[in-house]
Amino acid sequence: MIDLNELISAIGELDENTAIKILEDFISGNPTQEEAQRVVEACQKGMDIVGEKFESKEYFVGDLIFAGDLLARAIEMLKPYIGTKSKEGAGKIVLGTVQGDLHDIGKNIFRSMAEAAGFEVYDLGIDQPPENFVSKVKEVKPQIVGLSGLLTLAIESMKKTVDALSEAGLRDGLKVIIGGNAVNSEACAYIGADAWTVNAAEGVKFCREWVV
Amino acid sequence: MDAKKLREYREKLFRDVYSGVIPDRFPVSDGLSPEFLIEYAGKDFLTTQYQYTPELLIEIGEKAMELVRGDNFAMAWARNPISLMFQKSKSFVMSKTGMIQHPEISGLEPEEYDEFIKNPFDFVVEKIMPRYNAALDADPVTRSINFTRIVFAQMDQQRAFDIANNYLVEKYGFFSPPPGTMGLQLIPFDFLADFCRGFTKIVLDIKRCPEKVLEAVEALMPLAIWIGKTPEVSILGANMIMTHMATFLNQKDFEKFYWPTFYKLCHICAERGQAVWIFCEDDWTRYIDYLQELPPGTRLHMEYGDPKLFKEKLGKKMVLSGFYPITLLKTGTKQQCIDKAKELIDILAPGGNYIFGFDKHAMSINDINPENYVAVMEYVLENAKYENPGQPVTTEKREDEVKKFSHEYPPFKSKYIVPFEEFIKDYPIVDERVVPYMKAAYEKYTGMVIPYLFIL
Repeated sequence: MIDLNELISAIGELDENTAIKILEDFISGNPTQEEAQRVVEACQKGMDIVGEKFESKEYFVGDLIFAGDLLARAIEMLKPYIGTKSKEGAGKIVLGTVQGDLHDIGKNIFRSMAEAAGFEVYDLGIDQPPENFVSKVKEVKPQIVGLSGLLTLAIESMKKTVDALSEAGLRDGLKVIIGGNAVNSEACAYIGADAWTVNAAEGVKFCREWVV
Repeated sequence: MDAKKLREYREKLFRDVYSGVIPDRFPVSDGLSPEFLIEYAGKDFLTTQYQYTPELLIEIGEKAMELVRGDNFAMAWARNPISLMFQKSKSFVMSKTGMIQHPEISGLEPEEYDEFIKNPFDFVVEKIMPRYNAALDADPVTRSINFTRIVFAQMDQQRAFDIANNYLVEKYGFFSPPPGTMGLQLIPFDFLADFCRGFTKIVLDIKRCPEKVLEAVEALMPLAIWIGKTPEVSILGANMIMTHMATFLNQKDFEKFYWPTFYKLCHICAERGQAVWIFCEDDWTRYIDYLQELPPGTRLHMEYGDPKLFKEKLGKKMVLSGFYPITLLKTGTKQQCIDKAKELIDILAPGGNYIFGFDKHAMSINDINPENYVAVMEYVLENAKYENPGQPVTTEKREDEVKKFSHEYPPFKSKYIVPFEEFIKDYPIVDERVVPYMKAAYEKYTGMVIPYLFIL
């Protein structure tokens, strides 16, 4: 019988060997779909602990990346047992690194944490001009747009992207979150975003609050 | 003041700060990159970066003087898109707007650590260079042709920058460190992370194969020491360190993987009288006690963090600069920008050991409002004077605090970089009298080519 609390804590502690051993034992018992779903939820709870430790500054970006990799490994192992039953998503996010900027590590961390929290994420990639955000928002009608960038030039690109969303009549009812090394509260006001963060876990928290 | 006098005056400001003496006023650094200045001169950055000549760069530099107010302005270097083309580089690529950036890339696989550890330099030139530069992953003839193109393209561009920069330094009397005294200090963990394994891979390795990572950073030390040796040593020069991974690690990992070799390299520089200048990327507040262990006179350029705390803990021992958020120059009013400068000067200037500087440089024309920039620089210069120039910052002896580590490491060795005697043994020497000339030429041209072996 799987000890879900042990799994949650192994993931929270980033104890890969223990977590994988628990999962191996679990799948060797050929679990049902429901059992496997409960284990997926336990993995997500483990990720919540990682997020909390990140916020309390025990963990840092390196730990988040490792946690994301560990979670991906876990989900990969569980995939054959989860089945196709889709669970109700938390919401949709259109995400991308803005024009002129090629940095995507922060964006990718945010994406994996948002996906772990149940969001459906449409990742446009790097160096994305405003019109690509506009057309994707038109297409998938997300609740949230996430703009990422590391360089200072990203601020102007973020502003152009938000302006383009407004001009296309898409801004009402849409939340915009910006993230990356160069953003701060002044930049957020200048850009016209709803929230800013340099912390992927905090970013996901904002998103969760918005879709409640 | 004429340019020559101004240059002497400015050099003394830096000499005083670096020697632990209160200067006449604290030195002031500009925060404008060549990329920004090209756009400020009304030129299209994307295409201009393919056309550098001394005349073009001087024109851009002259236009920059509308904004420049600092003591050590330099337009000394920019990334080289022509070289990157000849490299067919995958490790530095251009965005649609022309800005060249370093994407996440991995040139070392986890199962290759043992081979890397045996001789990191040989591994880099044999394996990583061709993996990152497709044009070097070719037959020997094509590779030689491409490498020659790369070297010529690099030297041409650098020559244009050197001529323009020297012209501006002379004409406007900027402080510039003496030739041969500035170096780049390779930091083993950052090098392994940024240029070998990649940012997101190294953080997996430190959990999955920590002992290999530790061996690899130690194995990089002889190379780091050798490549960091500047031809000359001067109190006006420094080995520059651009930190990267430190603040992305948790404290335990930082202490285990990052700090030990970093700390030793700073002291190894100090052993031969060379200072280090460190750009502390991100917020180093939680590492402030580690920074205290660095040699006295270390120059710390901070991006973020609480300036009060840094001044309190490090202000007597280290030279501090940075902290001014350059993005404020875009988003703030003129008064807000000046208030921020006042706030930082009030905290950081008292007691010396301070150089005014922005947290980072403006990279593109939209990064700052030029009016705010000039207002801040002029305010800072008007409020930079000390009442007690010539006084020592502290009475503590500096050299006592330098620890010796260089004896712990063997000299750098590679089959590709050999002494003259070994190189020449299968080539005829017609007369002993020409040997000194041959040797001098060997050393000169070997020294010139080494930086290009490392274009990652």
